[in-house]
Amino acid sequence: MGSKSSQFVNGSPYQRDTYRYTPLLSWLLVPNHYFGWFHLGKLFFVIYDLLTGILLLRILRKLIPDISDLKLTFLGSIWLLNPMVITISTRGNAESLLCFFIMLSLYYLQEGHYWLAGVIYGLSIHFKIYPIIYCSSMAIYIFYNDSGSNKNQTVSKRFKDLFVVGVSTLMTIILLGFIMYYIYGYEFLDQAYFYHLYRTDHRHNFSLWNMLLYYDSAKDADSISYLSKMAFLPQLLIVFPLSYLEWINATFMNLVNVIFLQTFAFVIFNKVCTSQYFIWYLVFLPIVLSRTTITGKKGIMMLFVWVLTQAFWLSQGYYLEFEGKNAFYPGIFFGAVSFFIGNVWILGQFISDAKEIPIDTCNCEERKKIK
Amino acid sequence: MLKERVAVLFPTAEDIGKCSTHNDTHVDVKACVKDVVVQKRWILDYSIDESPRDPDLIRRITWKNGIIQSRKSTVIEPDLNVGFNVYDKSANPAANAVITPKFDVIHSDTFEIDQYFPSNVDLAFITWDPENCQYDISIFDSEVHIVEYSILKNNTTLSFTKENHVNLAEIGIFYVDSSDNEDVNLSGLRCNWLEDAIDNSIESCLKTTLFYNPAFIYNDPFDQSSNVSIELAKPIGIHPKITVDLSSCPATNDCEYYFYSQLPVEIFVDKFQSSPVFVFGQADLELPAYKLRDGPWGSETLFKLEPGQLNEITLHSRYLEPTNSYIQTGIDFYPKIVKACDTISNRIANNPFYSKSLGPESYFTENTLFYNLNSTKLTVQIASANINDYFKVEYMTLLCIILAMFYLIQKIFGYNKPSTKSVKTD
Repeated sequence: MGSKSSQFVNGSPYQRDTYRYTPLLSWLLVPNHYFGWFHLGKLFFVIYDLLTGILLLRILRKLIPDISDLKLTFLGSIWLLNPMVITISTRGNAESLLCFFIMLSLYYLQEGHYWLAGVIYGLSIHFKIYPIIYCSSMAIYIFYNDSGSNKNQTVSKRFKDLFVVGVSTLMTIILLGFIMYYIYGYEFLDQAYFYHLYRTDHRHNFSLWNMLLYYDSAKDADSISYLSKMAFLPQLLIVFPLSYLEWINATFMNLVNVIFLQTFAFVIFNKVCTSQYFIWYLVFLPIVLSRTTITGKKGIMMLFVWVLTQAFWLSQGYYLEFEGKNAFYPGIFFGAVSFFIGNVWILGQFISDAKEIPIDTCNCEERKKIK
Repeated sequence: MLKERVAVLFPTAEDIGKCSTHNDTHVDVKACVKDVVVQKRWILDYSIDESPRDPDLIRRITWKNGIIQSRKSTVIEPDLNVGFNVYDKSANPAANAVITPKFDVIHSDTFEIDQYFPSNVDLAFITWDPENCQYDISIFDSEVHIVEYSILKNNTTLSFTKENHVNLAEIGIFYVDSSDNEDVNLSGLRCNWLEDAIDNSIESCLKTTLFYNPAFIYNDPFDQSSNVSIELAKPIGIHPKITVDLSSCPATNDCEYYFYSQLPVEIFVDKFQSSPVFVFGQADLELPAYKLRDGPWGSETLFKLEPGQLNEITLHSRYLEPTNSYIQTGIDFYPKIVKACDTISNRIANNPFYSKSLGPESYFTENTLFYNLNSTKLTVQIASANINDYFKVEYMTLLCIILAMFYLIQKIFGYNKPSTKSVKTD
């Protein structure tokens, strides 16, 4: 720990076992101790949920200028009144903060405030690494999009914009990383970042990988199956190719859709998956649904598959966790398998749906020029 | 120099006359009414030994058999933890020791006495009987004190005399004359043998009386007002909840109620989501039991309880290594509920039968009197995956991944739907 740490905070948040986030989060929660009220932070997270909701509404209004108030209210409610969102924040998960940063970054991107978008995007990556998966689709959008001020923009200006976002993102990550490293030392890097590389997620969770990882975690390092070592590969092989969809249609509406698909795929294929991860993709749902071509009937079916497979897993999890029954196999494993298959099918529907987003003809022409 | 002393505790005064006899060399004691507690104590001085000794060594070894622990202890016994415990005050604790501010402790479910004695101590005089006996052993710089508690079963006889390898021998046959919370009064007969007497003849047998302040008191099982239950709330999941009913225990000025337990590595306390007074040892919140094998054997924890109400303590179980069946593994631990009271006595730490020493009592001040309100064996059944399902899980996972990737890649790069195309060509 750096010698100056005591000037900032008393000790280190990593003294609290299982604290695996940036110290920034713990700084934000210092008022908890100041006011001696443990639940203050939860209130804080709920406020960020509300702010995210406001951003969603503003983005939507700009995307669809003639949107009716009723539709806007309905779409906003998908986030603001979502019981899952409320539960996750009030139980003390900081996902709302991250969602707010990502949404704010998208908002600035939509507004054309590139360096601000980059700084906030960098901040979100500093908080949790996963938003880095958006970099490819964001870059494609920044370079190819043809809306608003970007219309008929020269190639060099497009490169400049990309450069501005890239550098501001990178600088934010490096600067925050350096500050945290300076104050908290190697422990910050280890707990906030490296931990994700060596963690063994043996405890039951929604991930398809969970049972295999549990088995393999009990084995010697050299007899672990090749499959679980390569678990990150399918995830990357789906998440990054999804940005191809942004390439064929570089509108902002499509960007939000692609980011949604990338997040959803990332969570589905992740080695660990708990309810709080669902928030990561649910936040984009109001924008995705604002223009969806999915019929109501199909939509209900998708929701049903999502809820029912999840409920099946949860019932098995309940038997294990609260009744002490041996529900690992087939219960929990097939719960995870059905949730995985259900989610993959839902993702497939959303991919097809995203391809329905109207392509700006002008955009097509411009892209030909750029090429 | 080896001294041997035996103490026998009868329930009533009449038993002494009725059930014990002695001649020139032997004292015979018979459990003629019911089971009788026998304490044997050996004090071995090994300072004359030439081999090098560790001058800083203070070690206490205790053994209490989990099976016989249900017996209520008597006034001549200290309160020991169940299982085999080695408490050390040492500068170099072992890797598997739980380190506390007062001592390092190694715990085991089995009696592993041999590896913890100084190698130059000749233990030929003792035959260990962990099945039936309880042990409280202290190893100092130059002396070893071995105290063994056993039960003389009804209708069996103990015939005691000074053996030739023993330098000094003594036997006391007592009954509890009176006993309350502050004072124990034992009366009876004490016989001793002449030092190094070759013919093993008894030197004298005299009536004797002992007064002392006990450090540990076991609540009378028939006293309903002190009936404290420890239970695992059902159903027992992976977060076992222990309920301790103190509704019949009033708050007092000088006493506090505590839950104390040694926990095997498979069970742990989350010190952030509960408020123990302490947890020493294995307190990691995430790792499975099989990743902690190289570390301490488990943990020791103390919770303060609220009198006059139901108390709840939530523990957590760790993941276990996959096994060969679907049957859960039973993990046992032995919590105790203790009422710890301040006393003004300065003589409480030592009495003729036991001393306060390294162990749970060292977390408290010297003048603390402990009432053991209940100590129970609790068992948590922990489920683990069946290793025989491994390949089914592996191939099913692989199949899911392959199919999902084919499906999604086809969705991403596959043929665009006509509706999209029509927009394109607009």
